[in-house]
Amino acid sequence: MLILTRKKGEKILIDDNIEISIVEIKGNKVKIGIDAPKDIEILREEVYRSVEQENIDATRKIDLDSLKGLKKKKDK
Amino acid sequence: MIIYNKYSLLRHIWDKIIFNLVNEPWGVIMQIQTRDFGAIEIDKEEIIEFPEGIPGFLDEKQFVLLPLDEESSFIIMQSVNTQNLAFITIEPKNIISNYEFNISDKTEKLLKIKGIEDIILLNVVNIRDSIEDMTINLAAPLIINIKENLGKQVILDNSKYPVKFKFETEDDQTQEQSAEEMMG
Repeated sequence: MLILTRKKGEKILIDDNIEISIVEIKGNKVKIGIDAPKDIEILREEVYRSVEQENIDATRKIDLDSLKGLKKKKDK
Repeated sequence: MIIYNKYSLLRHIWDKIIFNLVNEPWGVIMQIQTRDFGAIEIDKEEIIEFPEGIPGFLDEKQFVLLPLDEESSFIIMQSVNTQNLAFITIEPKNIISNYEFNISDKTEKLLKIKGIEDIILLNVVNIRDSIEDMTINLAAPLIINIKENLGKQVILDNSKYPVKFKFETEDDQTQEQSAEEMMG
C-alpha cells in the first residue's frame, strides 16, 4: 500500500483522471474530496463490507417450508 | 438518472416460463442442480448474467430466478454453477412503497438499460434464526435488466435504506403501518 502524508488543501492524482483532495481536517475526521469519472464506483469501505457480509449470511441453507406458508402481502 | 417504479416480476417470470413451454420447445434446455429444488431444467434464456458477480461472491456470474411457489412473493436466485449458492429474494414493492434511488450512468451502461420498463428490482432476504427475525437488505438492491438478462447488486451510498430492514409478510394492518412509519 502506498502511504502519503498530505496537509489540508493538498491533493493526490491517480492515473490522469482521479483527483483526491484533503478538504478539511478536524480532530480525528478528514473531509476528502474525490474527483473521478462517473464510471468509477466510490464507496465507504464499511458499507461495502456490510453488504458483503450480509450476502454471505443470507446464503445459509434454511427450511423453506416455513416461507411457503407466508401469505402474499397486499400490493400497495 | 432513473427512478425506480413498481413492476411485477413474478408475472414476468411466469409469463416467460409459459411462453417458453408453449412457443419454444426447441429452446436450449440445460439441467442445473439447485439448493432447494434438486435437479431442474432451465432454458438458457432464463440465465441472468452478473458481469461483476455479487459482493462476497465475485466469481458467481450466472443466476436464474425461481419463484418459491405460486402463493408466496419470494423468489430464489439460484447460482447456475454452484448448487449450494442461492439467495432468497423479494420484490421491494411487497415490503415498502416509495423505494427510490438513482441509478448511476455506470450501472445504466453495464446493464444496457434503455428505460425503466427494462428493470426489475429484487432485494436479498436474510432469515436469521427464525422467520420472525427475517430482514431485507434495502441498502443494496439487485438491479436486473430483464430484456438483456443482465444484473448487478448496486450498493446505495446513502444511509436512508438499511442493510437489515425488519419486516413481516402476514396480512397484518398494524405491522404494515409500523413498517411505513419506520421508513418515515
